[in-house]
Amino acid sequence: MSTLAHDDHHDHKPTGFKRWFFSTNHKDIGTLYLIFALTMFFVGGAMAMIIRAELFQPGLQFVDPQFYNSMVTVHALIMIFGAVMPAGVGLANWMIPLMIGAPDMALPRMNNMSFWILPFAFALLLSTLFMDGGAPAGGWTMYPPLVLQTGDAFPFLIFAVHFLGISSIMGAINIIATVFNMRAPGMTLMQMPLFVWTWVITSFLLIASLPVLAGGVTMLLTDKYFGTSFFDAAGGGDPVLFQHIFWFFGHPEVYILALPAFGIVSQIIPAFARKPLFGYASMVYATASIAILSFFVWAHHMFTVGLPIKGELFFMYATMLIAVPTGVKVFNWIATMWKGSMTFETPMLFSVAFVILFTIGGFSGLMLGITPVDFQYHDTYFVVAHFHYVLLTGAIFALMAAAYYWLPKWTGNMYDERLGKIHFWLSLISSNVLFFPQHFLGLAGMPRRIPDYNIQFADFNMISSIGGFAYGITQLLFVYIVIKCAMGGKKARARSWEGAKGLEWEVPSPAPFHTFETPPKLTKKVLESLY
Amino acid sequence: MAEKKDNVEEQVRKKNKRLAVILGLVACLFYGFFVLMHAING
Repeated sequence: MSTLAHDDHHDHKPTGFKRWFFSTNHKDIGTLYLIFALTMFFVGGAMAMIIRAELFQPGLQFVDPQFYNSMVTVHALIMIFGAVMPAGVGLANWMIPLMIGAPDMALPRMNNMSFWILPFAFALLLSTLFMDGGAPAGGWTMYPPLVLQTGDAFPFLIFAVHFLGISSIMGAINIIATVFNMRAPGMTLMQMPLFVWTWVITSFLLIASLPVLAGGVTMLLTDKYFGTSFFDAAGGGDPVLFQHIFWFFGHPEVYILALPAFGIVSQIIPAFARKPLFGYASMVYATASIAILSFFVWAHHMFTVGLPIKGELFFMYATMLIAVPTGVKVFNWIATMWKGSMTFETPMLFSVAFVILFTIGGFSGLMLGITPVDFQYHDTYFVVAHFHYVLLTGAIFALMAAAYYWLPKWTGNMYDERLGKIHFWLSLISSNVLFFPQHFLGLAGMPRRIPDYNIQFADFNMISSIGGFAYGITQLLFVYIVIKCAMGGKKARARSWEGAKGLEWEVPSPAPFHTFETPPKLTKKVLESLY
Repeated sequence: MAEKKDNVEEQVRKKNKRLAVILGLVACLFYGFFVLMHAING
């Protein structure tokens, strides 16, 4: 089979600066995205360490409140737009063409541009740390009128958000064009790997939601500098309008971060359970349903602003409805594992942990979606615990699983399995020590986004900070494992995992610079052997 | 044979560009619609 994969005679590649700066190769651009995301993960992580150090004890220890709020704000922006999203796009770049038998992404030069916008956008954002008035400190949600008090950093924040949006929209367009126009002959949409499906749906979410955010922040900009009053009550505007606009983007954004994670786990669990994915079609429909429903639940983030009661009921019920397709997914992952010949290599460990911990985050999300209950939990540490279960033990655990799963394909070497497992167990324990006590803090009434707190919250905060430091240090081990794997190790076979199926495992490891220059012919028989 | 392959590639390239332009316009429309709608309301 591996003969349908690539063109050996043709495997020349540029070298040095040109290779990376002018690259139009999907694998190189994927690598750039992944390295960038990992770097940003540590920059955002360093900010999280400052937050947890400050919260280790009550009272002000290390930083002033303004800087603390800047750390909270920039940590969120970096982790969302700089770490999780680019990591997902990096995986999409690397794997989608390989999975669908395409020679490259549909629009390779635009792909290069999508990536190189990112470092400039983050240079704009991070430069605000050194400006008069400090970095943005009004929260990643940028609510007016608070955000309008930002000093010189304000236009930098707005333009950084615009650039990030442009980059993501171009990436999304590229993915859609690649999947719709470049699939190998014979591969229908319902024969695509689920990772590809989740990325197509995510791309539509990006195209529909990011322009709304861009519109909102443009209006913020004109309110501050051009005398408009979209969000200024004194001029006839309404600050709550921004919240509606922001969350119309913000809730689909949650699924932009989560859907690719669903796709990753849907690739890995069948591979290590040695069974086909249970309910493939229902997984596709559930993913699409989640994406559509995500546009009808935005106001559950703003139950406390004083919505009409009918509005609150609508958004509460719509939120409950999302649990149905999500439940279908969790059921299917478990059914895939049921009676499978399971082994627990590091990617599988992270994937199983994802299923359990993401479900915990989902349940606390359901609690927050109940209107009267949300009046108690709103803006407390319960919310912080909830979204970190979804995004860290959810999205980031899935990204870690993906890195371990595809590292052999990227580098040609197997990673150190023993170290991988140590990384997993330390991450699992430390992340739960970090975030589980935050549920109790929130239920006891500790508000989020404050550098100091009442003495009654001291014990759980200390435990949480210890978990945070442990999690942070543990991730250095991940970097060591990746570098060690890239430098050498046991040679990986084309099909690096016994149960792994799909076109990407038909190309040699490491994947050659050019693959599928001549599209593979996928007859029914070939497809049956592949999946 | 090579000519036929070039033709197919050219067609795919055109299809890709057309789809990219359409999706780009959709994104711009969403953006313009939102700003314009609120500007008129304001």
